[in-house]
Amino acid sequence: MFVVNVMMPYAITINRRAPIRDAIRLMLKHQISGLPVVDDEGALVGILSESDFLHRVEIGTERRRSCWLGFLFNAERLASEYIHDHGRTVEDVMTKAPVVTVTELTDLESAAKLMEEHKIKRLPVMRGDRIIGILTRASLIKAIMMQGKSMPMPKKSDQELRGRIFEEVQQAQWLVAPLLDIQVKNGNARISGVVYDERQEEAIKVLVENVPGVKSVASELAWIEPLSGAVILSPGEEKTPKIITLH
Amino acid sequence: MLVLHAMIPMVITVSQDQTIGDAIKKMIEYRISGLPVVDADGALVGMLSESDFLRRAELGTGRKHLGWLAYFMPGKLAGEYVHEHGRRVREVMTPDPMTVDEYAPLEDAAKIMETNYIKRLPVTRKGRLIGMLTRSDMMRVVAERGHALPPLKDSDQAIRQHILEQVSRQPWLPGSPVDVTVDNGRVTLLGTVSDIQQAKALEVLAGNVKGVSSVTNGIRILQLKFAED
Repeated sequence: MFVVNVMMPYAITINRRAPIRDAIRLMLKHQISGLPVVDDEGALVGILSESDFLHRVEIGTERRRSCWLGFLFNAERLASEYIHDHGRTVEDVMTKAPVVTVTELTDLESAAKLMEEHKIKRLPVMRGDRIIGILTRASLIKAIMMQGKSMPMPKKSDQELRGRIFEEVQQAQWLVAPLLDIQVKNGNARISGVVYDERQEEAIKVLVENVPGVKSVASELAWIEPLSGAVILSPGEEKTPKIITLH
Repeated sequence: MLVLHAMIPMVITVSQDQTIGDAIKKMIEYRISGLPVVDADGALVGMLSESDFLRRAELGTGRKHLGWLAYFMPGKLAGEYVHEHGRRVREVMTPDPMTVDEYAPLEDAAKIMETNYIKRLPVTRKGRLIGMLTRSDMMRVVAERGHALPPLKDSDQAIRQHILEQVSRQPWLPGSPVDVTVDNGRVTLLGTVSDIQQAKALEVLAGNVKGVSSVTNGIRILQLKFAED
């Protein structure tokens, strides 16, 4: 299995000269802890993460080295820390390129090794110097676990269709895209993941059905009913849904 | 700034004897990715987060069945799930978590998070759990608080004095070979430094002063080459 089978085929990015406030708002809105940074041409120039905001003047955690330490740390390093802790644009605070990345054809084992080696949870997926997707640690592990099924290289048309479906899903504000996984084979879509009520499941099916090119939609969604605590699983191959109640 | 200014003063916990199923359900319901774990007396005994599940799944990728993850991968794994959903929180959690007091400076919390590679700190008041502080909360507060160094008076002269004063305090610029002029809030910086980072840092410093509308950076970088460089 390869990155292309598992990645989210879209990436939320920010421009290097954007104010950090915009970047923070974006990360909070989409609940992500890492944001790839691009230049005006769309090329990847760095990555901004939550950890970059641990030392900041706004919250009184900026690094203050005393003057006498000036000869232990060189001025360049101290100035860099100053820029990082006080600067107001994304490029002042981000970790600059080279960023650890993968391509669509990277195999999952190599991707997992990279994440472990660099202690990161998110890998931008590149095509040339353009980001075309994101591979997260969670979806990687899920995929490795399901590796019982063989997953051949998807056809280009299936891959494009998957991308279009995700575009639609991303635009629907009432959905949390990272909780869903969508696989496409020969135009047939299969959705799995978690939703919060059964109307969402219906709505997702309708949304995916309406993407041009989709021939059929099979759902393996589970939904959790908060009041009773029941988990209801889609029938899949069975005729009636199985209801499991938790106490 | 103190921990209490950034934390979320709400506590959703799970008992160490509850099942993984209950814990995951709570996380999804409240849309949080970490839960403090308590014992029968309500004392904090561990932390349970998505990372703990991922770590267990990673260890188990030799085998195919980790049933309690069926919440995230329903359908085929539902059968296996029924066997595993009884596993207890205490078997999966990270025990003995680090905590921080609500009156501790945020700086302490930042250091703890950094050195221990954690992104979530339970907050206590006299040893009792009263809230949670995450990296995401620190980031949110950075956005909420703008930052500007205000000079005493807003005039050009005051701004210039203020910038020069700030510059003289910086350990990354020993001596102050910088010339500052201010015209209607527009700052021009001239001078020579030995490294481009110093030039950039000066620009950041000047730009952050209240009343400054623009900064023209005319600072030149003197190229010095030493044997070791």
